[in-house]
Amino acid sequence: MIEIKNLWAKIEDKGILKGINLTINKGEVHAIMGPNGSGKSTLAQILAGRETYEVTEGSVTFKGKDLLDMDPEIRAREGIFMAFQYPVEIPGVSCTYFLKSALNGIRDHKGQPPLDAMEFLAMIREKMDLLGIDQNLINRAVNEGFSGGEKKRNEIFQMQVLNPDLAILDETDSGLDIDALKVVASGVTQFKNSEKSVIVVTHYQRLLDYITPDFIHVLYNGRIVKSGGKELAHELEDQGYDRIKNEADSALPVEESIA
Amino acid sequence: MKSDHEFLSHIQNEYDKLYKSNSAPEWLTKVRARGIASLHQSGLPTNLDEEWRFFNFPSIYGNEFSIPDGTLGVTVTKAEIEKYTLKNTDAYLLVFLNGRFRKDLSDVETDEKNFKFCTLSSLSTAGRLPFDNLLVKHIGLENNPFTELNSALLTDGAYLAIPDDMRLAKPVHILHLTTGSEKLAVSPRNIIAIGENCHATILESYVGDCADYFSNSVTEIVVGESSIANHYKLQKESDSAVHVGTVYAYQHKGSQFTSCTIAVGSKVNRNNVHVFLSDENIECTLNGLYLGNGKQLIDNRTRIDHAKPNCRSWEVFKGILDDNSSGVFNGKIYVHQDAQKTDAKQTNRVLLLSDDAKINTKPELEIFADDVKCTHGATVGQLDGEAMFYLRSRGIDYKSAYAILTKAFAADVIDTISIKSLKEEVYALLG
Ligand SMILES: Nc1ncnc2c1ncn2[C@@H]1O[C@H](COP(=O)(O)OP(=O)(O)O)[C@@H](O)[C@H]1O
Ligand SMILES: [Mg+2]
Repeated sequence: MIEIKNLWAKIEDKGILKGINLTINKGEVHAIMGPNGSGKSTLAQILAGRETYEVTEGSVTFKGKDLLDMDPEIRAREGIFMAFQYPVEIPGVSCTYFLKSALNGIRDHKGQPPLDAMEFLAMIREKMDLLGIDQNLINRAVNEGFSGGEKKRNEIFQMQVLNPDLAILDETDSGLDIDALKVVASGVTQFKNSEKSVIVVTHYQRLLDYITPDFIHVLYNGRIVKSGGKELAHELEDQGYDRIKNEADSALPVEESIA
Repeated sequence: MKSDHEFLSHIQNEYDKLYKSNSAPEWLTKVRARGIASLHQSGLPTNLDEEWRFFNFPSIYGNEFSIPDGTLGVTVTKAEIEKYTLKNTDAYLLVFLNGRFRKDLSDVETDEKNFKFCTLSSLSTAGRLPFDNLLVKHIGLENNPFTELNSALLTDGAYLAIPDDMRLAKPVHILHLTTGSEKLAVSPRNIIAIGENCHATILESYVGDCADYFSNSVTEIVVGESSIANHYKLQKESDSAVHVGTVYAYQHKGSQFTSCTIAVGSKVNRNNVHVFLSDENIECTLNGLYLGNGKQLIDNRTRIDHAKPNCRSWEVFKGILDDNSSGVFNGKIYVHQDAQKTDAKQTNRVLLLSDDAKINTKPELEIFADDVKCTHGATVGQLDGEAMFYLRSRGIDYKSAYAILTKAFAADVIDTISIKSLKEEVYALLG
């Protein structure tokens, strides 16, 4: 599905990603964990096409194509979806209009005719019911005045409607109470199948109790410092990140650990 | 480059040539004479005048515009007019070509009782002086030399007198078209007198398809007691034109006036809007939307006078400026001593789409009553990069995302437009 090779990225001369290697196959769920500030969101945003980060080295191949060469909208149309850690409020733009434009943009790219208002509403109605999303919510402006939980649920709702091949969920679990977490998790479970891949970025292993990952990677200081199976989550839960941090820090080249 | 004085002598020459020996009706001759005399007295403004600091005067004074004598034999067909008229909307239509009424291009058939369309020129035989009742002086408005210039060169315009208790079934569309190969100065004047308990919607649009010209329009609107009036002005002059447009509105007791000034065309544009709330329980919504690109200058000056207690005014002006365009917003709210319990709110928001676009914004509150609620706010911002990325990351292309965000920015102004097709037309200007 996606192959990330030696990816380096910076923002305003500050190096953030320092050689990420990650391969994800069809049907796999990968979790990326790690302490705050390690670069998890940076990686997610770069995959979605955020131009504020500068990729200085490396390559990303998505379904055989050069991903880094594509505009964000082309990535979305090719099948990438990133659920934002902090979904953006867009006053004046209704959720329905936004989602219909997005879906028809993707359909157009695939050579499918646009859905008319009726077809569109019928299709989203079903997904709304599944996620317990209220009609009022989608008549409102995108994320405007939404509670934290509503925002996150809206991200998962969009994922379901747009139906990507690779979903990247950036801390979609944070700030959710247990019921909301279950809703989000079931949304992901419904979405996932042998043709789709998911990257779950999370801080806690909580979500991983509901969405079982095939692999877990620990990102620290712009590098994947440890990878393993789902048991790694429990190990991290018990020991925290300190041991991994210490190990990684002592393994750094001298000048960088001093800096 | 010519000075304001040289331009004024040029105007005087044109005036002498066309109007001196002209057998215009008495009232018109008087209005013109009064206009030119006041101009000489006050002089034309320059950038030294505080109210005109940012205006581009060479675009006017540097040209020897000629005053159209008749419609200059220009032929325009009804089919050609269609691109300027409202789509799928039944409206009364008054077309003025180079400042003259063209009945053949208009659509003024009405079976509404007691309601007739009139033009200023057709008032000639009646010998009445409509201006004496309505003219800006009566309202005690600020002296504006461009209004005097309009009077001095006055040829024609719409004159609508809407009798008491009339609800107009259709909007009235007053269309001023400037065309031909000459560098013209046109001076459209519209007078709209709305009686008591009326309901009327009026659109004035200014369009052109010739090169350099100078359109200096004045519209006077009186909204009678307890009447509801919607007024829209769409300025879509040609790219190289100069448009100075002034709208005066005078509201009587309990009336509701909603106005939206939309400025898109011309290279240099000044919009003056002045509303006078003369009595109690009046509501006024004064909106504006200005869209600049290239090297356009759009200079807005508004004034709302609260003269009596218990009135409310809401003013929202929004600007979207791209390329090297610049905008000015100067909005004054004047609360007279008597006007207790005034509730006035003014907002100017500007979206700068390029690093080279500029805005000068200055609110002015002059409050002489003590129990009032007056607020104003101005914001200047760029297109939200985060929102752009959010939309694009969902599969919406750059151009559409841009259009979605600019439309959302302008939506609260555009949504106050009650003519559906006009609303759609304005949205379409944003992509
Ligand atoms: N727009 C930005 N400008 C400056 N620094 C940034 C920006 N985005 C992220 N960073 C920095 O990059 C590092 C990684 O951030 P982020 O990717 O958000 O980490 P995580 O998601 O793992 O918490 C942090 O040190 C953060 O301060
Ligand atoms: Mg993060």
